[in-house]
Amino acid sequence: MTDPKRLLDREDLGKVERRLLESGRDVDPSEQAPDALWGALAQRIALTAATDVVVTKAATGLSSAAARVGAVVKSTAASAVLKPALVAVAAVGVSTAALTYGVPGNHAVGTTRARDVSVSAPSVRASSPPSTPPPLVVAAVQTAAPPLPSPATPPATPPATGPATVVQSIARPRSMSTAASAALPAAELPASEPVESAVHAEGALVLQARAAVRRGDCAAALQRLNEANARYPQGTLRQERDALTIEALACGRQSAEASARAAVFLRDYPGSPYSEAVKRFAH
Amino acid sequence: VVFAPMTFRQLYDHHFPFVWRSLRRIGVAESDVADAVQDVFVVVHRKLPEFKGRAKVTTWLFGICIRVASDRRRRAHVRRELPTENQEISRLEASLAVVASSDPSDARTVLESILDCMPDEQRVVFALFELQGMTGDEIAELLDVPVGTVRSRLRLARECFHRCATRLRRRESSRAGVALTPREA
Repeated sequence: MTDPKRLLDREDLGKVERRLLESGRDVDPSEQAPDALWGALAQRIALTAATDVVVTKAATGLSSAAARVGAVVKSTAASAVLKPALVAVAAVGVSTAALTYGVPGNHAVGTTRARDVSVSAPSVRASSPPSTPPPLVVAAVQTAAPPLPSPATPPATPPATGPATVVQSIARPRSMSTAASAALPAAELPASEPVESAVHAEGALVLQARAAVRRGDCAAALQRLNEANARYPQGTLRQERDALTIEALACGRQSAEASARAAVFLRDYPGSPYSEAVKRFAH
Repeated sequence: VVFAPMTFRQLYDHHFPFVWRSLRRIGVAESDVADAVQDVFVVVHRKLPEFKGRAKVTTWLFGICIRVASDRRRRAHVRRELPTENQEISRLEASLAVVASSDPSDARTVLESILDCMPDEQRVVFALFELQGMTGDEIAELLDVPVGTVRSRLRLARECFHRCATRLRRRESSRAGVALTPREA
């Protein structure tokens, strides 16, 4: 038994059918699309890893949860042969979650192996999880809705190679242009994207806004996006933020505002991979 | 098949157009494709260590595209009822004026609406065979179903496609000044 002849190869195909099918073949992306989406993708990958840690663990027992944090980091590190830089970004995201979200309103001192991971992940192929759950990671597990980090915080102390005592200043967001980011191969990272906590925080807001839009919670989405716009007016994810804002406005029945912003977006970002999505809202 | 290890970025750069095209051809609307491409590569990033190179990279990627497109479609079902075939055709008829333009992207919008009426399994087979140019055997291997199943899904999808096209043509001929195909000068 052989395949039937393709419709487009058949001479008796109607004009309407032919035109429709031919239109379906020409669906290439624009030349700018890969680079334009890379920055947002790298953010999502890093932040998905961080979110996974918090979300998965919230439903489990604390000690096994902490062990799994190690497992997540380990499995990420195991893939370092294929994608060292993004592993590093992901590991930094994970450790940032632990450090940043781990001690809400708590000035406690704790030990952290998460910092070890963030430093060593780029170069290791197997980073052993800690044998006993570090207190700080357990604290991160307990935080279901972590407060978002503020970008204006002092840089951390230099990373240590072994378990270190952590004081409050490192439990806050910190610049990641330390050993971890220095170890990243530059070619693997979006050129315009400095690896620092502000970028992660901006990405976290965008990620939350996207999730809110997808579940139809437009008000929550707009709140996140407004927060991101206020805190990071020159952020690296402005294009994605603007596109999401337009979508959130439209879903919140503010179609006139969505339309006005869509027109500005299409003017400011010609050839954007989000153009088609935004065009729906320009009237 | 020998799988030459590549970094995630290399894989992304090399296969981005393939993933984009594949998603579009299996019915992801142009307005959603940027998001869907990211969804695919998030999964790729997570699963890359498990990929042993036993299948072609493109086959593997396409499998992920299918799942992502299907998930997005399911979520759309939850958010708003997707139209039945008749409702969809009525909607298409209402927008025939748009279709009358010679802009290929308008025809593509109509094609997407038609693909949207098809059940998932039929739409994928139709897109792979008619638009992507794969053979029945290749599709059977990709979807892990017998080739006979592929052909019967194709037959049903074609029937749906022709039904939609016929109704559009009938409607077109009943309307003066509105043509689905570009008019000759």
